Amino acid sequence: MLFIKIIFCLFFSAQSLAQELPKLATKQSPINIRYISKDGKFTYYTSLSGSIQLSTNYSFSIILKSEKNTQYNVEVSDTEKQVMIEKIQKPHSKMEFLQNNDIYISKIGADKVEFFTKGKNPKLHYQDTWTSYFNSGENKLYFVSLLNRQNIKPIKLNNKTNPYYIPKAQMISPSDFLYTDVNKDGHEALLHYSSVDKKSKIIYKTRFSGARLDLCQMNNAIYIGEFPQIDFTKGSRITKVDLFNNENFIKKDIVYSTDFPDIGNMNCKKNKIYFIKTMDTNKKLNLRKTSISYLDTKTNKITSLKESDDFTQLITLGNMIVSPKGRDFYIVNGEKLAGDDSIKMDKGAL
Amino acid sequence: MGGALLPSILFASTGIYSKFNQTNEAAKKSFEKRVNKLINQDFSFSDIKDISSVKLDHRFITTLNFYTASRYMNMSTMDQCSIYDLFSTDLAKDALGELNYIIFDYEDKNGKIRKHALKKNIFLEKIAYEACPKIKTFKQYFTLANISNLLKTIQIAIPKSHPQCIKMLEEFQKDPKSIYLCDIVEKVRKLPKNEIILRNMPKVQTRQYRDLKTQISISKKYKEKLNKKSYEYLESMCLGVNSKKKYCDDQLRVNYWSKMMKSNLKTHSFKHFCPVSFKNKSKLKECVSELNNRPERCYYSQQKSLQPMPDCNRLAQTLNISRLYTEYKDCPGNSGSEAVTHFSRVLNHVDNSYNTQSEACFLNSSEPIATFDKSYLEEGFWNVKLCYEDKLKRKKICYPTLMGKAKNDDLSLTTVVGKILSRLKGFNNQSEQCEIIPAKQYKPALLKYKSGCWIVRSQNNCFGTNCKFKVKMGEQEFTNFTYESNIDFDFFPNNFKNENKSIIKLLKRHKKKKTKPIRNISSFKRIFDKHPQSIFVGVGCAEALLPNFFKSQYINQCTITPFIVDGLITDEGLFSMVVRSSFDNVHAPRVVPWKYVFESISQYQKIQPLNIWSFYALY
Repeated sequence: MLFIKIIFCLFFSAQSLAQELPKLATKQSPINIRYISKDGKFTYYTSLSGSIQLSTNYSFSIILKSEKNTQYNVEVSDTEKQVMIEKIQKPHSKMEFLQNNDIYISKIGADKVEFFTKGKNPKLHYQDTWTSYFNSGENKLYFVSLLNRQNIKPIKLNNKTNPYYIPKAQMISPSDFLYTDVNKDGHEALLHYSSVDKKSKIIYKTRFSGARLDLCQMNNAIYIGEFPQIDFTKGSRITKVDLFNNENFIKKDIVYSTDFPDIGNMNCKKNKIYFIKTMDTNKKLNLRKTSISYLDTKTNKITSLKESDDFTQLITLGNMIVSPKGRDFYIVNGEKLAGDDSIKMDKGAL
Repeated sequence: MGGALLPSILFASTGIYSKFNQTNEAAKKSFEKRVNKLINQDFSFSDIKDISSVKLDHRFITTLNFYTASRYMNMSTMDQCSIYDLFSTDLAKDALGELNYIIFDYEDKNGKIRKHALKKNIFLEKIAYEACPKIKTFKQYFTLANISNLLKTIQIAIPKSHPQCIKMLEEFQKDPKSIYLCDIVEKVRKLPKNEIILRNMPKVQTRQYRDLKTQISISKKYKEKLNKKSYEYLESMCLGVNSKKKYCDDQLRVNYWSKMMKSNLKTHSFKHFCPVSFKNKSKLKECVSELNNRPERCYYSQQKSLQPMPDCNRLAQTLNISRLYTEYKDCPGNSGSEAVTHFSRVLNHVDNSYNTQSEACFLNSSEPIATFDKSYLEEGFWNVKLCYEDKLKRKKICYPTLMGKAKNDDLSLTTVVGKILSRLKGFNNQSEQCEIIPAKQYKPALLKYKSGCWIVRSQNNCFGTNCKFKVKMGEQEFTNFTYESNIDFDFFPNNFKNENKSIIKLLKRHKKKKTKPIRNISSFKRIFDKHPQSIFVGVGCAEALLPNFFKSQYINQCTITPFIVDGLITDEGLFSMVVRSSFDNVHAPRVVPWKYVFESISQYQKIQPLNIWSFYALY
């Protein structure tokens, strides 16, 4: 443990780059963008009239229409075969977080969508052959096969402490599912549900209550970020758990650890875990001085991209990881593509 | 963000500032002239009759007093050696900034009093260390090589009472170690500022650049040596030593819970965390002691809200300065709508008579709105209704309904169901009343349930705005009614057509409240200080307001959340606010940095239909 910390400190101090991040510039206003595919051929965006539209190189089509000001969240996985759309109606006047929303599904690039279910936070898994969503009213997590639309027995959450809790979900195989839950003492845990044994087992539990888990699945391993939500004296860590050849997931390696309360919000891309790292704190103001950092999982080396306490979120968008600030999005990682929707950035933006 | 606004406050009255600036420049020039004149005078150390005859120049002391932080000057007034201790640190300042020269009087061999100025390090070597030889050795304890050993000897004390706290500070002030420790604290405190200065400095190898780089490197090393706990402790002592009352008030404020217990104040916030009878003193004492000693005890509660809530120490800080009216039970997770939770909190604050003190806590969110609607809006937007088909009149009749036994009986679910049953089933609602029970309790086999009217409420799917329930008339289920729920209102205008129906406009019109958009800290502070009852209402994106609770999964995701601000915390020109989002329990406000509040409103403005800035003072 101490060894890990020492390695981490050595690498970290040497790698602070403090570079400027380029702004995401697109033909569409970035406010309307909901997804840009990796090859840049498809862009999903919303319009003021309340519809969600799809633009390709030569055409555009309205794929879903609703009343004015309807909000849409678009989920596309790394596989980019399917698109799931969560529709939130009257978000400005209803404000009902605990209500389920309409979820639609379509093939990527298709101009027709199909109503799928009612729920929240759809997520695609397993080369887009499975999906998961949360039913808020039932407090149940559903995993559904997209091949035959059959679902495993929904997983009823134990969480009774936080009504606004939404579990995170991942899949290892068509019979092995990972999800998070919270116990009565406020400890969040990552569990493994086997549809063969019909049992859930804890893989990892937070060391203290009031900590949040973030998940990233990469290279046959799951990376579990543990970040304190309240207590500034409790540290953060990222643990690697191999998903195969690791009976009962017993073998766990701490790949990153710090005494600071990182915000986290992990996103993974090509052997790197991007997250919001806390560099310093002001306890009186409940303020964290943060930077966007990444952990190279090959070397366990930490690199800080930009030292700024204005960034708090990271989002994967096609082949990019972006971070919102004010009216703009900043590209944390990603390459500009020939056929994408973005326009050439002026020098000022870089 | 906050820091950037500070100059605008300072520059507000530019006339005063420019005069002050001119005086300051003149003082600098005069001091520089004086030093230059004195250092050029003939002087030899052998001229000094006796080292004890050396006294600091009177005008020099005045300059020192003016430019050095008074907390450190006060530490150095015990004797001559203590002021030489101050000179051994970087804390002493003169009109030119860092203290470089010392002006002093001495008696020459002929008994004549003379004046001279010497470079600080020469003065220390030749005069100060001669007069107070212990300083030289003592100073060594605080070097980078030795500081770790010294820190081990420091006891971190937490004051338990005011006199004890004052005594602790007085002792710290007298301790010769303190000035050196505060010097280290100041070096570490200056580190972020110096790093910014260095970053913006042209990277020419000037002396200034090199000196700053060395300074930063030393500060960083000290920072590494000090552990977080000792640093925080020393920083608070160094900063608090000159304002003992404020320091002790702040330190003892953590015992808010004890204060509540002693004063016998049965506030709902206190009762929320200590739900024991005030008559049972031992239980009460036990609870308060737990709140003070186990801060994480406040993370979770039975009332549904965003959890973990802040720890008990943080709540002791925020509840002490919070001004929102909160004398009711609260459970936002049961209200069914963030808009309802928010609006009812605002209504309860502007007019306490809306407080229903209902035991069914979700009614404390829905009933004030239904009552307001009935009084002013002719049932315009409390659209939770029970309806039935009146076959005689051949039309649908609907009654606005609250999902429980409300203070306003006309709106109670029991009354409305009774009314419909009397029309359709001949139920005598004058002599009998329906009773609400949770589904778990309903046992149809029991004799009790074989007669009468029972409203069996779903255990899980029941909110203030939407609730699943069954009506049982004895053993029969009554189904000839429909249930409509459509709570849909704008806190801030979302379209021009219905602008006057937005809550902010309605409060202005019907409750005679003033509103003003708030875009910066200066305007916030102006209204906050001038109007003790003022609160600040906003709508923002939860992902930006509470980023360690709400993670953005999709681009442009915005979980719209209204929030109330009713307190301000400042530190070193930065600001945080006491915030209750509509997900939070009203008794558990959070401290949110102003920059997060600002960012969350900015993010929301991007999708707000009228592109309005949604943060207003309400007073």
